[in-house]
Formats: sequence, C-alpha cells, structure tokens
Amino acid sequence: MERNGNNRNCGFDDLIVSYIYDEVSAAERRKLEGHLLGCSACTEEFASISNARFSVFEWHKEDFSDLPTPEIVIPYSTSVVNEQSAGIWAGIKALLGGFGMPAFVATALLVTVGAAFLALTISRQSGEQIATNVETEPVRPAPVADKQADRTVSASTETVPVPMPVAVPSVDPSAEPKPVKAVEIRRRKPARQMNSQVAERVQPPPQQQRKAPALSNFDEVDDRSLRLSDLFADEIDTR
Amino acid sequence: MYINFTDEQLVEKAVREDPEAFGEIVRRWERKIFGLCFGMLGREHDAGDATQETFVAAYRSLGNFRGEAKVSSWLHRIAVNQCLTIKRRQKSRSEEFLDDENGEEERVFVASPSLSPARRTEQAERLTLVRQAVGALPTDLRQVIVMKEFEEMTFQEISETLELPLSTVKSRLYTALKQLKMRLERTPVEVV
Repeated sequence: MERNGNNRNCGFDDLIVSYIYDEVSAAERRKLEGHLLGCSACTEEFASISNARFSVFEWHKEDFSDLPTPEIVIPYSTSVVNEQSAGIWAGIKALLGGFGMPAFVATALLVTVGAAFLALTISRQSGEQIATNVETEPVRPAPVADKQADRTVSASTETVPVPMPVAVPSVDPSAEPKPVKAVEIRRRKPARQMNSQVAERVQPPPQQQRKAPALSNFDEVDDRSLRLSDLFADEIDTR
Repeated sequence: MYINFTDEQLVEKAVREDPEAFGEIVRRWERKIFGLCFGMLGREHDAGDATQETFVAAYRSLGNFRGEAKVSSWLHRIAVNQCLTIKRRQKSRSEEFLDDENGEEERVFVASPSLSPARRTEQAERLTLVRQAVGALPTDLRQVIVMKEFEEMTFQEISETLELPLSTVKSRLYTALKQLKMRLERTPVEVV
C-alpha cells in the first residue's frame, strides 16, 4: 500500500465526503474504492472523516431521535369557516368594532334587520300572489286586491294586452269562453310616486270585488292603537 | 492489564496466542473500525457485520502482520476489504434474490445490542464531547453539519439554500468533520 506524501488525500477530499454521504456516481464510487485499496493515507483519511461523521450521527441518534415533538393542533375547520364568511363578518366586526358597540347590541341589530327583511319578503310574496290571482280572473279588470297588499305594492295599474285566453276552472264548460281583452298587471312604482297614491289606496274596495286572502286581521283603517303623537298632541298644540 | 501496551506489542502477544491481548486490540479499535465501515456501507447493521468480519479476518491473519505498517493502517485496510466484499455480496444477492420472500440473511456473527454499564458511561461521555465539539465549530462549518446530518439535506440542496457552489459545500463539510475529529482526539474519552 503506497503513501501519497505531500499530496493532500490525492485530491479525493470532496469525493471522500460525497462517498460517505452516498452521493456519488457509480464511476466515482469505483474510482475511490479502487484508490482506497492501494493508498493507506487516503484510507486513514477516509477512516478519520468517517469516524467524525459517525460521532455526529450517533449524537443525533441518541439525543434527538427519541425527542418527543410538541403536539401541534391546527384548527383547520375554524379557519375555513372564517375564510368563507370573512367578507360578511369582517365587515360587521369592523363596523361594530369601530363604534365600540357591545355584542348584544350587535345581535339585536342583526335580529331586527333579519326580521324586517323577512317581513318584507313575505309581504312581497303576498303581493305577487295577489297579482297572480288577479291574472286568473277571466275578464273583469283587476281591482285593488287588498289593503294589506297595498301597503307594500303600489296600487297603480297598467294595461297590458295578453294574446292567449286564460283558462279558468270555475267557469262553466258549456259556456263559450270569453275572449280576454286585457289584464291589468300591477307593477311596483318608485317610492317617490307612492305618496301620490295614498289617497287612492285608502279608498275601500267595492263590495262585489273579489277579496284577496289577507295575511292578518290587521286593518289599517280600523287601527285605533295609541300613537306617540297622540300622547303629545296637547304639548305640541300648546307650543 | 494491557492498557499500557502499544498496539504492536499487543499484536506480538496475540501472535503468541494470547487471546486477551487481541481482545484489547478489538476494544481499542472496534469503534473506529465501525465508524469506517459505517462510512463505507452507510448502515449500522452492515457496519456491525463488517466490523465483526474485520476483526475475525485480522485474527486469522495475525501471522502475516510484519510490523511494517501501523496496526491501525493494517486494520483499516482489512476493514476496507471487508466492506467492499460485503458490498459485492449484497449486490450479487440483490440480483439473485430479488423475488426472495423470506429475505433471511446468513449471519454468522451477531453483535449484542446490550451495552455494559461501563460502555454506557463511555458513550454518554463521548456524546457530551461531540456535542461540545460541534458547538465549538465556526458557524459556517457547524451550519453544513446540521443541514447534512440533522436536516438530511443533499449537497445540492445545501448549495441552493446557502447560495454556495457545490464544491464549497463539500469542502466545508470536509473541513468541519476534520476539525471535529481533531477536537475529539484532543480530549479522548477515558475508558473505564
């Protein structure tokens, strides 16, 4: 076995490190192994580097391999929910947080808004149902269906020609179907036009007109409940 | 009993059929030979087999030792030969028994995994020294050791992470291990 004299590991430093960590090609592996068999200096060097590496490996294995890692809990579901509702909740939080309102006030506000929205939706559906009922009336012009409906839907009417006859189940089948001349379809008007219709919509409907189903027994005309303005009517007058 | 004897003296005694003398040689060099075999084979189990076979081969060839080289060089050469033999054997086995479901290996020597209390103490002291030696390395050298050994990164990954040439990374790791070896040899562990 030869010794390499002053030549530092015969230039195999990098190759020795790569070999120890098994990051060499097959050709490099054969080259180093063949050299180690004939060069005692490189064999000594290889043994030295390999032992140092083994010391670190052993230290790592003994001191770190069995170390318990902390349990990491990531609330994936919560983060997803927050992400989905980020737009709405972020806006509400920013709004409420900005005003410094307590949580229960915020909740009450939300409930109130929700109830108002629900009432508005139900009223609108009622109006549409009334309009549909009016459409099914054979010939006669659609009257103002109901006061309750009138509160949410304008009483203005508009004549629209309909080409097809409307089948009415209640009509006698032996009688000739009457041609449909026109159907009045009630359409919503802008809010600023509703004031001009107030006088018109408080007029009681004719007795012979078909009455649309009412959502409640509440009648605005007969509403005799105490109002705030009634309580302070005297004060207002004195002032 | 043989602590104060040199390696060459121990070999002379072992040649004269003194088994305890050869036992002392084994005790002195088994770890270093194991480290060499571990570097060549990459697995502890294979390194253990290679170490065992190295000392068996050394004992059988005691009569051929002429004292021209150091005992350490002689053992290292035997160890390299044994490692290459094991590699060739593994390669031929993997080619011949790719479909072998049993996968049983012929093992003549099985090293005992249990350590004596004295060996445990020695190992604990050695690990303390390694910890201190690694901590005393310059930051740039310690960095590559940690990335290689603890994070198990390839040289290429370390090169990209540190934005260093591949050759520089290898050179740093080589220097780090070299310095580590020197620091460990400077403070040898006292064997009980």
